[in-house]
Amino acid sequence: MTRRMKIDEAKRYVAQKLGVKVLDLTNEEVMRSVREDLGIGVITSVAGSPKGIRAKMRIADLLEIPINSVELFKKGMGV
Amino acid sequence: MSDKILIRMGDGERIYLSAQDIRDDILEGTRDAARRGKIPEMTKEEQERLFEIMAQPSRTVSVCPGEEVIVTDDGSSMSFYSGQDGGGVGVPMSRMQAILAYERACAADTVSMGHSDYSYKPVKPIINFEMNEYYNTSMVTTVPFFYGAQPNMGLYYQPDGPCPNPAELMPAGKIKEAREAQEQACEYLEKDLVFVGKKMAGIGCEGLNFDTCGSAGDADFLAALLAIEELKKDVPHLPIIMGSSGEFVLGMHGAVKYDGKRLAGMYPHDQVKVAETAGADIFGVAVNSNTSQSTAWNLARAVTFCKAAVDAAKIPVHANVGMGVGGVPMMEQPPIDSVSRVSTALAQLGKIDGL
Repeated sequence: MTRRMKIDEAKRYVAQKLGVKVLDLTNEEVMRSVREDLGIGVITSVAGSPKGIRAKMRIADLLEIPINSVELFKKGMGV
Repeated sequence: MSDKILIRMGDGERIYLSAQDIRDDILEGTRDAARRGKIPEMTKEEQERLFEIMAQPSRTVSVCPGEEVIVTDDGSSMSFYSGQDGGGVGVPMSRMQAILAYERACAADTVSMGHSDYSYKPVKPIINFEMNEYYNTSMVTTVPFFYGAQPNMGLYYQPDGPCPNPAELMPAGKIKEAREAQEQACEYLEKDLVFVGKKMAGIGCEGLNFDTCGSAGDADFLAALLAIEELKKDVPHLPIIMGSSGEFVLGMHGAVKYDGKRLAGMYPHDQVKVAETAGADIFGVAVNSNTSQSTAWNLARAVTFCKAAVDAAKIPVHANVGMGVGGVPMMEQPPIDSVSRVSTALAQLGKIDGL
């Protein structure tokens, strides 16, 4: 939505950034380990694993997109 | 395949129709949309594919791997804690708990929060409460997190608001006064939408949703367009979803224009163009269900309108799908057989980017 991409273009963009095939974006087996390895948040609750703003900072960085809550957080932290 | 196929009417009643009846309904539904919107009908192949979706014997139907689309919402997490009138199940939870349950237990693509009234006017006096709650929740959500509500320009009319009520003026023949009242309400609404949008942007709002724009007519739709235009000047990085309220903009005023185009009577393929011009990042097409027609008729109609909007749009199009919208029957508990068929058809045939 930050780049007004239609769904097919958005999937290609995200898949390329995450290093997976487009079809794997909805493959739970692949995405579980990708999400864990990249620190972008997994659906089950693993104590100490990235969630919330911590995961979103990684998402913003990996996808090279501005996420407003992340920008505000970083500004507050002086980052 | 049996010749008698279980299907629903637009009010949710289950009936059996023959295969030919369903094919006829699909043809009539797409013709109705094409005639009204002056847009192409579904092709014969698309109609046949829609028939196959409707005629599947299984309870739920879905897309093939790779065809999945994104889901945005209009406060879906409220369904956990709200009452019947909000379509909710009344489990006592905070907004944050409901949002996290929706994100994590339901694996939502995006989440959102909004005022219980889900209108922008009541947000203004409690904006600090909303900003606080949004900010706290944004620290713990991982998926995109929207703040949403409806413009609901009707709230600006007496007795709820400051403006004379056009619903009283028009039957009295006071058309000029009714238009002036709508123009005044439009100004107040635009100011409130911009006020809330800027305040929320200031605490890191990840996206704003203007839901059911045009529910009070063309001046309501105009207020949303003007507010988006204004917000994009000050906060260009705030993504905004503009969702419509029906397949055509009601001409309650009849003469308001945006970008030189009269808004009254606009169908989705024109609605999305003005939304794009204003600066909206996602547009939500709404097609109302006819409770006297079958879901096949309603869905063919919805697919036809969505296809035309998607073809015209440079921005993503998310079809509004819910009680009585998008081809889903108008009933308190939308049945999974209808919802899954609607979702599949709109993704495969309507070519939408999201629901």
